[in-house]
Amino acid sequence: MSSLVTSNTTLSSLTDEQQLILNNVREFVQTEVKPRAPQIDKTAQFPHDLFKRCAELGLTGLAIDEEYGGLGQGVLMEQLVMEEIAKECPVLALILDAHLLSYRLINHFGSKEQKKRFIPPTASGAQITAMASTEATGSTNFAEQQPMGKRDGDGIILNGTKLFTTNSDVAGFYIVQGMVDGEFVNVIVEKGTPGLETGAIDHKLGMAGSSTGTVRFKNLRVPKENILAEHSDVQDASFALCFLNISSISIGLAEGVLEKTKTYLLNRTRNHKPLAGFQVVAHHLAKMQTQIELAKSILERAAKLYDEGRPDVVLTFMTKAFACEMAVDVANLCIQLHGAAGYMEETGIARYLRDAKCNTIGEISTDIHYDYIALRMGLPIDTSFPLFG
Amino acid sequence: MSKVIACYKWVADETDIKVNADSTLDISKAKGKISDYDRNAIEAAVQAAGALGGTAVALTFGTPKAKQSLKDALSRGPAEACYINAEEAARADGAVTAKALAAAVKKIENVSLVVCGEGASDTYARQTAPRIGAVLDWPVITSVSSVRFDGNALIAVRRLEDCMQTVKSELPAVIAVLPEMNSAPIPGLKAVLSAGKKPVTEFKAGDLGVDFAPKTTVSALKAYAMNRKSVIFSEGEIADKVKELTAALRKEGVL
Ligand SMILES: Cc1cc2nc3c(=O)[nH]c(=O)nc-3n(C[C@H](O)[C@H](O)[C@H](O)COP(=O)(O)OP(=O)(O)OC[C@H]3O[C@@H](n4cnc5c(N)ncnc54)[C@H](O)[C@@H]3O)c2cc1C
Repeated sequence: MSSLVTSNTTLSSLTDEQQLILNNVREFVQTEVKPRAPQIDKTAQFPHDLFKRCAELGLTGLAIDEEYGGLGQGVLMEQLVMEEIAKECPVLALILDAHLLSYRLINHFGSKEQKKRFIPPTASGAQITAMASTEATGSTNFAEQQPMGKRDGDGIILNGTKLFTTNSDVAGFYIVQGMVDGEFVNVIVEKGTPGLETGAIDHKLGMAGSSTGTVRFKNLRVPKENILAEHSDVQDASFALCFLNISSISIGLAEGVLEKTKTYLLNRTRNHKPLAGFQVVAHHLAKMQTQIELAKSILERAAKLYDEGRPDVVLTFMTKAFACEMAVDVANLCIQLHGAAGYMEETGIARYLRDAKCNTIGEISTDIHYDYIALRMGLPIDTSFPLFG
Repeated sequence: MSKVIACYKWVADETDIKVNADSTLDISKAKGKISDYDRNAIEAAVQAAGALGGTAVALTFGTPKAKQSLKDALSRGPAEACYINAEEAARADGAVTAKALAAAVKKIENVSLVVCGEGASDTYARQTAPRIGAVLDWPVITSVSSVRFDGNALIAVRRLEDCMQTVKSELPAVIAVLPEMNSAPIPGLKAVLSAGKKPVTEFKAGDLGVDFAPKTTVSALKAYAMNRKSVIFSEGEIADKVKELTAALRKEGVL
């Protein structure tokens, strides 16, 4: 069954090269990623082989400036690529997302020297990177957050633990965010630095194969060169970009599971007629397709605003909240429409729901996104999260 | 420097082709793509050019629509591309296609090897390489599974029905390669972005001095239907069932 006409609306504004890139990514996903996806889910082993292939193809540097070894392809292209990968393997897209988030922070807050040192290995994929921010008190509970370090001359001594860090066990360096002497800082901690310990959680609901875990510091000294420009402003469009990436993952995931469900229902019959032709079922499918298109539309608008240099942070929050919740609903209904077959891991449908759930929590949970939107609507929301400015 | 030419065809993507109720085909919504085996041909030409110290040139004969294939072809490694832009390509048969490609090969000059895919993913006629060889009066080796070079000679291993045959030929020559020849890697994004900077030579139908009138015409194109007979052999031991199955297949003319 060919894909829907509407799915190609975005592509009208792409150049020949961008269209080719997407075709190649689609081929990579269908021929190399799709056959590996169930195995990654089952074994929960980090897919080093596929990350390496992403690097070889240039996906690790897709949106990174050419000056630093990337391909300078912009935010919208990155979203389309994430979406394509997530159709078959959301976790691979998540791994790339965490990797690119670190780049964004260095690119925004780093000095020229820091960019020259840390961005090229990120672009080439020679090093996997991670962003460690969440602490035991909660990812957005800045009022109760303990200081993670102290100034020591021109450096910082870190002591503390970051939780739920994606790529925790595989990263070559970490962007660590937290409070130091009453200020919010971003520092780079390199693998092998004395005082650094990392570990991964083996069992989680979904996104198996990503290394999610702790990053612990014991009297770890961060030299001056690894401290990104100090700032009190996390309310930053660069950080909010990660919300678009995670939204694209959810959209791709929803498209992937819906396409499989549609195929299944076109072939499964009741009274010798395809189930997809029963109006109730057909309407479910049509509504899900509509939800996906809505998410794609808002995502495209938000991504284009970034590419035009006038990002709208509220729109990224809306995109994240809507797209990530939508994907959970779609994956859930797709299991239902598969009946028992959907409940069995072998059919590869259940995995989509387990993976989808990650995105309503990771990169700040939906409720907080709505908090922020509500605040911007002028509602009297009480919050201590500095994103709210 | 000698040139190694990869001939490729821009075909309709079969996944987009719809079969109408009367078994005719609707290709109006099909996107184009480089024929699958021709990707192996392009990769083989790039590798051969490397081995011979020459340059690889991608060559296609197509309608104006085929222009969109050039960046894709160039992203796969050739240093340059040639495009025979002719409406006549839509009606071309094997003879016309081969004459057009051979004429372009002559224009390109200094060609040591022409590489074609064994067959195109739309018609799979397997005529292009042999016919180009006939027009140019060059040796032709088909069903090539691997090649190596020894001075000015090419040594090819051919996969035939029940054996592997190794043949040697002087260059220039024409070969048709099987997909097992190489893995035709997916082009990296950098290669895609730099493809547009490579040189492209465009030939118009009139430039080549070729008679484009086809000697064959397609009078109908219909999808064939696959109907299941749904026969189940459930009685008796496994050996009996196998006997019954083979007997039934023989009766159908399958075995
Ligand atoms: C798979 C995965 C990967 C992750 N990767 C990373 C990573 O790479 N780096 C990193 O730093 N973190 C990472 N995280 C952590 C993630 O960012 C946090 O889990 C997320 O932001 C939610 O924070 P929390 O777990 O502290 O929930 P809590 O803050 O404890 O919140 C729990 C729930 O309470 C509600 N809630 C909390 N506060 C409010 C409020 N103010 N108003 C209304 N409702 C509220 C929400 O419903 C929320 O979901 C990851 C998490 C997962 C699941």
